[in-house]
Amino acid sequence: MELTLVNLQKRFDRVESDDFSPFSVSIAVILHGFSPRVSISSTQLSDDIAKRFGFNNILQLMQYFQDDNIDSTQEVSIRFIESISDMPLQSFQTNEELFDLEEFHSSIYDMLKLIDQQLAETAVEAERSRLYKSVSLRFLSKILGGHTLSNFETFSHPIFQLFVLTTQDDCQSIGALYTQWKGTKVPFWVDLKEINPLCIIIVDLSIETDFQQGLWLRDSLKNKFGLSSLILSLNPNDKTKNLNETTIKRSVFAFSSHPEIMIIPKTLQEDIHGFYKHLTTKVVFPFMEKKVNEWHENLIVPRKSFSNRFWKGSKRSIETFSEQERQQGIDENGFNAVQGYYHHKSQEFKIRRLADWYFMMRDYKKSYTTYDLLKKDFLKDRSWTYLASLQDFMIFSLLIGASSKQASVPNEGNGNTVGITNKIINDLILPTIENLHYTYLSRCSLRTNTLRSCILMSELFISMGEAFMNELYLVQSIKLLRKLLSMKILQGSALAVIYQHISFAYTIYSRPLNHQEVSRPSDKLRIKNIDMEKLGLTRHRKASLWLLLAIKIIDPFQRPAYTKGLEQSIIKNLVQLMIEKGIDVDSNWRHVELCWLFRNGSLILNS
Amino acid sequence: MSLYLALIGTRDNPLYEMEIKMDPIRDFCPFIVHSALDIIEDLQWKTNQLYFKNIDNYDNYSISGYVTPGNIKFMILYQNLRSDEAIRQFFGELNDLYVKTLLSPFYTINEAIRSKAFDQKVRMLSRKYFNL
Repeated sequence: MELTLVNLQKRFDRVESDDFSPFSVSIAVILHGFSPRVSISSTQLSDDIAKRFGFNNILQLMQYFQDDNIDSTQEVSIRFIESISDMPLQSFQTNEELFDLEEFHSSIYDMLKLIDQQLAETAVEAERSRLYKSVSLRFLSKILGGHTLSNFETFSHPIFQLFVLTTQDDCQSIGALYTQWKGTKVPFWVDLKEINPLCIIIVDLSIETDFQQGLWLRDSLKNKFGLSSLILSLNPNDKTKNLNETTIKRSVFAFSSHPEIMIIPKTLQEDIHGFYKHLTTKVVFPFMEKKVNEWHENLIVPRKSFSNRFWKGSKRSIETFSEQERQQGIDENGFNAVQGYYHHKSQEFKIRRLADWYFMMRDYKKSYTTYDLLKKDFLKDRSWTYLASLQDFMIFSLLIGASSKQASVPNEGNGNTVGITNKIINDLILPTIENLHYTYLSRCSLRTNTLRSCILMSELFISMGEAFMNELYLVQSIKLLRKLLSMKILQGSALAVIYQHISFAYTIYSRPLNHQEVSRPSDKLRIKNIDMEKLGLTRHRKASLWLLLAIKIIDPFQRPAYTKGLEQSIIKNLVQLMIEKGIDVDSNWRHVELCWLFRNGSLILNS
Repeated sequence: MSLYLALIGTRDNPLYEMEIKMDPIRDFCPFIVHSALDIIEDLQWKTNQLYFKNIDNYDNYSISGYVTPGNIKFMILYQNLRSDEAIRQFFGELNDLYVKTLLSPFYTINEAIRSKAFDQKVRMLSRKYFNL
């Protein structure tokens, strides 16, 4: 499952130029991780077109374009996945882990190995810094890169099903593809009817009559199967390696089996990019918006109605379940207590899906209130996985909602809280997190969900802490990461990455002085005392300790280039501390304050 | 029971170190204690007290500290020690020992304490209060 993150290169460039840290852009990765999924089935002829450009199939080709808007928190995006009809049967198990933890560990090991090699090969400081910064983003993309279908959250459920075909395909083969997809045996917690089918007809621009043929095919698909279609105009014969070719990079969420970069004609890149944009902004999101409004009217308004407050009967499902469904253990509310899932016809499933769609559409206020509506029902049914996941996304909604205010609120510093106050953290966020982690781990043994929850929340807290210069958020982030360590879910290199996360949070920790500093003209003859009031405002020593622990795990003998950089960061941290204390630092850094690091037998010298 | 004690000068420099049964994390003891200086420096301006109980932790180890009026820090990293009161009394007596060292005309502040007598007395104190 190894996933890599090459497409973030341009974002790293931005990180460099604008003095951003990886945590400022991590929100964009998180948002992209929860983008609407679009599944793809393609005919043999359309796959042949993809093969002409070096891709295995149309799905792989499309996946190279799915990160196009990842560098922006404003722009919406979608993610392409394989069709439900092509998914292996184990994807349909209930209460399944998000990804294989063993594979995850080995992929992190490989990632550090790769970065170590790259660091050894480059001496350019900007490039080295970029590689170090990429670690946390690669780690994040691996956490969000799981492809498992989940029964208790609907982010992994596709919203659109694309059937990609060419003008050479006949209606019968499309019909067979469509029928096969429609007849896929899916569990009761997947709602196949709500996946919107859409045909994509690839038209060859080099053939004059092909566009007409495409239009004709579009009409006949509409008439025969009632399927809507979009035309994708390409020039598949333009594969000449000339000046007009361009490089596209592998998606952050793609499989490692995909080549890291692909060289394709510029016209193809422009055509597919335009198509991707059209599909996202003109098809998927307007469809979601329409659906969400409809569901809100049908599901939320009756629940919140005046009569419902007196007559609780209307709250629950009025859907009737067939005899066969009853035999599967589904009760009158649509909940199967034995296997622990809600039927897709149940109100709980529908409302959860509505909340998830709000979340994907980045309306965090509505997603929070919609999640909140379900809490009591899940508690009553003792559907623990659903409850934990619900609480998880309630907190995500709260934090992402606050984080996305970053752009609108100027960076004032001095403890700006953007609505997430200490009281909200202590009374709402922390008890909920405690509760949901207990449920994930002890009741449901879902280690990857716990991992994702801890990492994402800590990322969001770090991001907020950094943006608003508020140490309150950084402290929460560190607590979450240390809690994750105490759960002993991670090991090896992944543990080292967490140590580096903690170190980063300590590095940016900085409490403002309580009073305004009076600036005086510098006087070299004046006795310079340590400024006592500045002591204890930062956590540079702590940051150094956690880097040292990371070095111990990564092993300086195995990854010399990587650990050397971490050692330099330790020294920089302590030198920064000295500067803050008002101590003049000379170039060789052999100060008494650093003697812990340089004395005989110390770990730094040993390594 | 295990313990690592460090007396730390005003410039973060170690003045004296003693370690008893800290094998699993021996290499890291100085750094763990050093990192706890961030916390103690933060706390020392908020209160008049000299003893800071359980200010930080690492795995199953806890850290307590004592700040002298001259801003010298006594830090211990420990596991399964008897009681907080014992630690407080230990620090009190250690402070007496340190003040006596300060009074020596051959000792300058912030200098490493290499006196064998001092070391023996500190070890006696740890036996007295922690049975170590």
